[in-house]
Amino acid sequence: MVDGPLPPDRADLAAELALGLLEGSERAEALRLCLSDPGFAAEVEAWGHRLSPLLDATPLEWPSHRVWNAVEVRIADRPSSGQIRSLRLWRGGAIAAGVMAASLALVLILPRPASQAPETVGVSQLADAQGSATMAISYDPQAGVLRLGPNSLQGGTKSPELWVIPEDGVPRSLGLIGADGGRLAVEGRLRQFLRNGVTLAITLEDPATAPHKAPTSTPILTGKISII
Amino acid sequence: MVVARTVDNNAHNARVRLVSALHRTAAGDRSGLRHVYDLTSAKLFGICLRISGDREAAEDILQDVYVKVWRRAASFDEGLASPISWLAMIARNAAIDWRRTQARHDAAGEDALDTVADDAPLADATIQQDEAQRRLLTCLDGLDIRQSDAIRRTFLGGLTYQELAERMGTPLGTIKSWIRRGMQGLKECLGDG
Repeated sequence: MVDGPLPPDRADLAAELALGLLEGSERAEALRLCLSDPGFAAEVEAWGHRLSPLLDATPLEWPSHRVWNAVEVRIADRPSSGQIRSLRLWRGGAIAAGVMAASLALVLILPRPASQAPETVGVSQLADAQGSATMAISYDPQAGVLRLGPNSLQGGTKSPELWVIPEDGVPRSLGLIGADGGRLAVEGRLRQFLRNGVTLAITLEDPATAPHKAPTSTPILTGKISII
Repeated sequence: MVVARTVDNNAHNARVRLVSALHRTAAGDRSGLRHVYDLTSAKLFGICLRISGDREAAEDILQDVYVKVWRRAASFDEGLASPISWLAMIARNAAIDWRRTQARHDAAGEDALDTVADDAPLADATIQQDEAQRRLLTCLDGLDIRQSDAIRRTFLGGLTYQELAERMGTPLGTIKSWIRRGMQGLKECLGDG
């Protein structure tokens, strides 16, 4: 997953992000790097694993009952691990939960420009089951345009097709993706689905007949949208 | 030695119970999540409170943490992290996210943080130390005291560089250098530098 050691300044930045030291634009920039640079993201995660034993010594404190009550309400009508069940149905149970396991998007928080209304940007990082292939996607809701990072997803005669899978579990095609990534304009009727927490997936499909009503193969990458 | 072994067994059993509850959670069993909550909420709330410095905010953060656990339980990998470390990192990251989205913490929050951030009762937990924790603490102790102090305060208190510089009464540049050198040393000591 990591192509050799990170340059020293990147390694410092990963350590600083993992410690939580960064704020404002520095933090936003480091979080963006997590999406675009798998080696950097891996180093941040590795720091989390290295340092987490320190948290074992934190003194215990007891929360009030309202916490569990609220949790119970919030998970009441929500399948565990997001859209796993609908994805499983779609895939005929061929792939275990591991695919979704590797697909958790990073939550990004951008500093708010002081004088402007908050700007909303959707971001997702798609990953395969092993976490070895990733792809960063960002979305500009004002323009209705997805920006896709470069990828190596072309599979012979098949082309990667991007899907959004909203809460109803039904995949809707957003269109084919070129090898060099680039921009993908989202049809007006599909924009409503590009919301925080929904699943994105990529399957390899026949380009001649795209866009399709439903995927014909299992996803090679999946991820979730995070609004930042 | 019998006592030590009993403690080890208890720790082992607690871990097995927690892993099993996480697996049930991943399968969509709400009572599994409730079990995870019963086993870990005091620890995770301690972390949220320590970093947020505000009881009400910490309860809101804790709510989000367990909703995240519900969604992410399938991604827990016992080979990568102990279950409690995995949960603790979710709680810590959620609390840091909360802090960083607060434009400026009010004075009360800062004061509350002071009372919880600087006590660092690491020795209290020695009995529960597992191997990973022993290694980490040994490596931290091997660093320059100012470096390890800066790393501990930041990680456990959720401080920014600026806050750390103010608290330690040290110029920002010096603090950055302590942190960077300390983290490099820590990584080398832990054997994956």
